[in-house]
Amino acid sequence: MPTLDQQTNLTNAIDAIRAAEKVLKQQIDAANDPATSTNLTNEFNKIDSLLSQLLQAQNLADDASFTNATAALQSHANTLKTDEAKIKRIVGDVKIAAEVISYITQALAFIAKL
Amino acid sequence: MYPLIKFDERGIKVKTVLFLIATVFLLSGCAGMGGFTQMQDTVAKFDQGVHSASTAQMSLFHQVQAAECNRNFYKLAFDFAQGEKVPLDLMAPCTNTELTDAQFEIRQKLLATITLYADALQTLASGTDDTNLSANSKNLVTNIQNLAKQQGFTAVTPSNTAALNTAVVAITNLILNHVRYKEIREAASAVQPELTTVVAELKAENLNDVKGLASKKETFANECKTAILSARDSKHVASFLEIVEAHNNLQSIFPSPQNADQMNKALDALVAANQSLAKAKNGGAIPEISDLISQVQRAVALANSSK
Repeated sequence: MPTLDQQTNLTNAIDAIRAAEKVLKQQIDAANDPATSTNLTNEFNKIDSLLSQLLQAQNLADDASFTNATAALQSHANTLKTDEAKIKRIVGDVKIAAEVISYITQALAFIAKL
Repeated sequence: MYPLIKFDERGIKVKTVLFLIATVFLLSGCAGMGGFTQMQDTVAKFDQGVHSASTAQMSLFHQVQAAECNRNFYKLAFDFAQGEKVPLDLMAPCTNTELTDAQFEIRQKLLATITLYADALQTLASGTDDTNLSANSKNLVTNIQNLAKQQGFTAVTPSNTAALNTAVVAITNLILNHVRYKEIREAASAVQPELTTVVAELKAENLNDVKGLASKKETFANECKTAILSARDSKHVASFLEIVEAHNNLQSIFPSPQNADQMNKALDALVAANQSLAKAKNGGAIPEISDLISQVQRAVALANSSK
């Protein structure tokens, strides 16, 4: 079972990922061509799969399962670090891209503390 | 008061007095019976409301599991539609990982703690000789109590886990020993804090589940939007029908976060209804119990609109 600190970090990571998703969704809603929408949706899905793992970890009761889940989370989180350049390219707007990256960075920081 | 021992010309008056006395006793007996029947009716409504709330909550848990399964399939389908080499099995079984079947069963037992408590109250109110639990109910309550004694219920906030399990032990103790309570308000009052603890946990789980539900709905919406853009390019105005279909699918496949909000209101109403029973001397129309039924009806209506 996660400790109180771990649970707090999980919750904060979830909230940060949701914040990134909301900004990306606004971009998808505004997109007017299939290629842009596809790229943005794929990025959204990548972030969302991290959210799914966080939700799984949140519900785990035994320590061994939680330790395994944490390791998998941190490994997955590392793959998102390389997405910064891609996000800047597909989002287009520099400010909005920076906002998304900021939320993802926050989430990764919370995951690193698990 | 007329003396009762004189007969003859007072015979009729004697009979009248006796009739009056008998009538007074009969009426007071009827009033007593009416009060007893009112409490039975009130507790029956409470029991009905609790069971309905439990059913609505289970429905929401099922929707959470179904949303994860749908989400996983649609993501695969979206990747496949883009030409990625992914194994698309239209009949692939789903294994839930966010709310697993084992976790689902534990939540089910938490709900059973509340419904069995409501049932115990109802048997107390019935006033019949048979106030014992059925063998099945007794087994279930004992099973739940043993799980709680082993700290088998995990709270969303880890520091609340011990209190949650203690609350379940206390409620199940009352269920197993409910016959020693003489009045409904005594029993209801005895578990009010523990009932509040259990309901708080169910509410916290709903709030957590909502975050997952919201993201899954948005993910599907994004994929639909992308597909619609492509359809518009190739089919032009004919793509309108696909837009309508996507909109309808979105509403029916993924439950709204509103469902969880309403469920939590119903749970709050359940706690308030028990609190009102803890204070009630007689039965009758208790607003908190009417509110419980009303809130649950709304939760059920929302859940059904998502099917």
